[in-house]
Amino acid sequence: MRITSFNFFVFLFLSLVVFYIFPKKYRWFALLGISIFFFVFSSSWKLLLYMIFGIVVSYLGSNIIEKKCKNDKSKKIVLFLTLFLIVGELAILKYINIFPATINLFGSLFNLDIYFNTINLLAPLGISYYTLSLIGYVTDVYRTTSKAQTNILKHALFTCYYPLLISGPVVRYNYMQREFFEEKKLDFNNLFIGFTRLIYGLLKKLVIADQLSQVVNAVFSNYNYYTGWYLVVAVILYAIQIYADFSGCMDIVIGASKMYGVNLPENFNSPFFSKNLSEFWRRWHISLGTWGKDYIMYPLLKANIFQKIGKKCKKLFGKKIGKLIPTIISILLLWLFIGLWHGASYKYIFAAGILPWIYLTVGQIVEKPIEKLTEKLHIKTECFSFRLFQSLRTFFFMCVIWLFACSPSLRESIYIIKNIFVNASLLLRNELPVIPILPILFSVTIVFIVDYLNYKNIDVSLKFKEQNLIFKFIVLFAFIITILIYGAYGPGYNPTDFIYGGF
Amino acid sequence: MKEKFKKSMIPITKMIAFIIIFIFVFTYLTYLMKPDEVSLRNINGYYGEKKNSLDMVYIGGSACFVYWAPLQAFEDEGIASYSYGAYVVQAELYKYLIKEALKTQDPELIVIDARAFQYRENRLPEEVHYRNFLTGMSFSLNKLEFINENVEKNIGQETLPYIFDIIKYHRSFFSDNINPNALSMMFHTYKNPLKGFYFVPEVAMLEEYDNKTDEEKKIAKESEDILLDLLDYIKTTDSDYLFVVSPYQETKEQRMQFNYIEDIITEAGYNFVDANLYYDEMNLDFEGDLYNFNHVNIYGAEKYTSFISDYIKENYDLPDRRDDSNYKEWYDLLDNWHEQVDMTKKTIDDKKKELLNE
Repeated sequence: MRITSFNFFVFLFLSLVVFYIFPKKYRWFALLGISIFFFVFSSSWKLLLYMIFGIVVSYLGSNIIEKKCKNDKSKKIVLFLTLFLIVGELAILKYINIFPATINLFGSLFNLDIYFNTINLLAPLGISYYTLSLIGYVTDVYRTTSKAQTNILKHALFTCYYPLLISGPVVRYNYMQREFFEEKKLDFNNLFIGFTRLIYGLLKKLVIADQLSQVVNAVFSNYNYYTGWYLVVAVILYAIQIYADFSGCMDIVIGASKMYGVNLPENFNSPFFSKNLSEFWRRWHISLGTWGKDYIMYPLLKANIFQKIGKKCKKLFGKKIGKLIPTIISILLLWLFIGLWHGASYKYIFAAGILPWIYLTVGQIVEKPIEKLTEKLHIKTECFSFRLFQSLRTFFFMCVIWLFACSPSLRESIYIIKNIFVNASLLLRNELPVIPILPILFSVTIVFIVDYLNYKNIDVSLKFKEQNLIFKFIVLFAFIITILIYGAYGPGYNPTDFIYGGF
Repeated sequence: MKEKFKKSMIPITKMIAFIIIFIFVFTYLTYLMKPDEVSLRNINGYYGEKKNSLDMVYIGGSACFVYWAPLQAFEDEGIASYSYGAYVVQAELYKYLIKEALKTQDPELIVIDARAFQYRENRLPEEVHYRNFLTGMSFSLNKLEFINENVEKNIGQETLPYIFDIIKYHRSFFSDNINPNALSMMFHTYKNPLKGFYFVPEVAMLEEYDNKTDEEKKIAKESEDILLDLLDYIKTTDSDYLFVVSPYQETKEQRMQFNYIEDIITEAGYNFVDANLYYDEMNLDFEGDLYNFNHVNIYGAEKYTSFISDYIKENYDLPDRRDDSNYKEWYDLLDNWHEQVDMTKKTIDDKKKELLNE
């Protein structure tokens, strides 16, 4: 069930009715039933078994760690066993093809007569997201920062809460426990704020992302024909598309969840206003970034082996560089994980893993010299023009990443980069799909304004709620009419899945 | 307690207001995007007719709206009628079109174009055939019933874009022109100035086929079932019915099928007229009165309308509305009608001359 489909809105409405009919104390149980229904309706009963496996393993693991294990060693063994089973399931379902792909790649590079067929295994909806949440939960129980849930049904809700299955965010148990299990009253404010957010998400997804995707797909599927500026413009449009798509999806799920009275954590915070790349990643897919730091990077830095490397490097290269090397290695491992999480292909490992790592490492190394150079050249840094330069610079570097990410493969992205410099004319070609430019510009402007206000720490939804009813109605209906008229849905459009839904 | 109840009613009232506006927007906004063409004007324009003002409704496809000229029938015989037709009618639509027609009018006579019962063998229904009618119909249980019973079964498509046709038409908003009659169509106040007729300023030089035969040939089983179902349905209504086949280049084989259809209809107690047996009585000229093998132009339409009007006057008791003060506005439409008739005839004459010179 697509969350932009008519069926979803019927489902949402009926599920809200069911949810609020339930006694307050048991509304979490209604959410569990609603989520299972959504899962089965969107995929199948068979795939539910995979999810049940994850739920049972993490439930048993966390409870054994908390209640049965007497010492740290036994806790560690149970933790690793639990993580091995949870990660193993994800690896088998989503990453098994990386092995034949690697062998085939080497085969083609060295002209060897070997070829392995890839295996198509169906993975349950949201496995990439709920697996991370489960890893975090079991680890938190091990670290005693979280209590193990003794009710398996409550634990199941944490895993399969349907708004989280589409594209995350990756959530923490301690946070979600409060949201799920506190008594939920029927609050019209929640309904209004949630609905508004949902409509705003639809505007981003259907009017901006899906309309732009027609042009982006047309250009990238024919990059030998659309060369030069076409490719540059298509990458910029892809940047807008991917942001509207992913953040639009977050708006829809956060909005839908809010209508049940469950607040989900934000996954975006005006990323295009970032001054540099490290700030960008603090504002883009926030939940994945913080999860990676908490459960990969920091544990690695604290690990014995990294401590030893640090000490050795300090001896060899001095205190400053010696301290930097273990950090750079742990960041590399973190980004390799993030790249791999995006998909079992070298394209993602490079575009979403190695390239960001290179950016950040080079950024760390050249940060101080550039600061000194800026001071020497008397460049003003506290003014609009410099801030604009910083944002555009960040955007440019991200566009390079997205160019790799939206290309069909790593090899083809090299051709695309070559073709950018071939025939750089900007003659408009009629073959490009017709898209409603003015409504898209209108919607992009709205998103820009909302993001700017968010960047300035102004709670837009709260401000909006405080306005007069007529103003609220006018704005809401302006959005709804724009979506109904200019949204990419219905016959003549290929309904596109959320980009991050595929990761 | 009262205060608490009052407080809880405020958001509920707001929600209800929102839902009402939303339903209105969702249902009616689509009129801005529907393509402005004859099918929409004819089907939607029917709602704009004054309630219970029509004595006759002619239902069919193009074999209805390029043939039956309601304003000529009014001027010559005082018949208050409407051509309730759109392109390529499918027989299964008839029952629903009659139901729709009877919602706002109480006609004494409903004329049904019988050509649709003979189509099925060569032409299966397509999306556009249903859309031609459904696009102009207002949202109703009748429309829903047709969609649910036919769309998936006959054309294998999802029903939702038919129920809420904004899903289909929203795309045309930025590629085509906005329908200038959108607002009046939205509120069912659009009045079709030709009462459903459509001018085609074309001419074709054709020859008459020998179509005379008493033999019969079965029609497709599906068509027969639809016809029988329709006959059962119309018995439940108060109107009288006449089934007609308008003149075209009818073949012997087609005539054989119409003989078969005629038997079923007359057996059910309704009149059946195949105008293709009366070319001489109509004075139909195959070298000037048709614009293609299947349709007449205004010259042929005038002759056909006169012929059927005479038949109706003889066989049915329809009132003469020419002196009725309630029908004054019909006279207002006649100037435009004559102007368009003359213009179309002039274009046809010029084209005919060109064809003859070739």
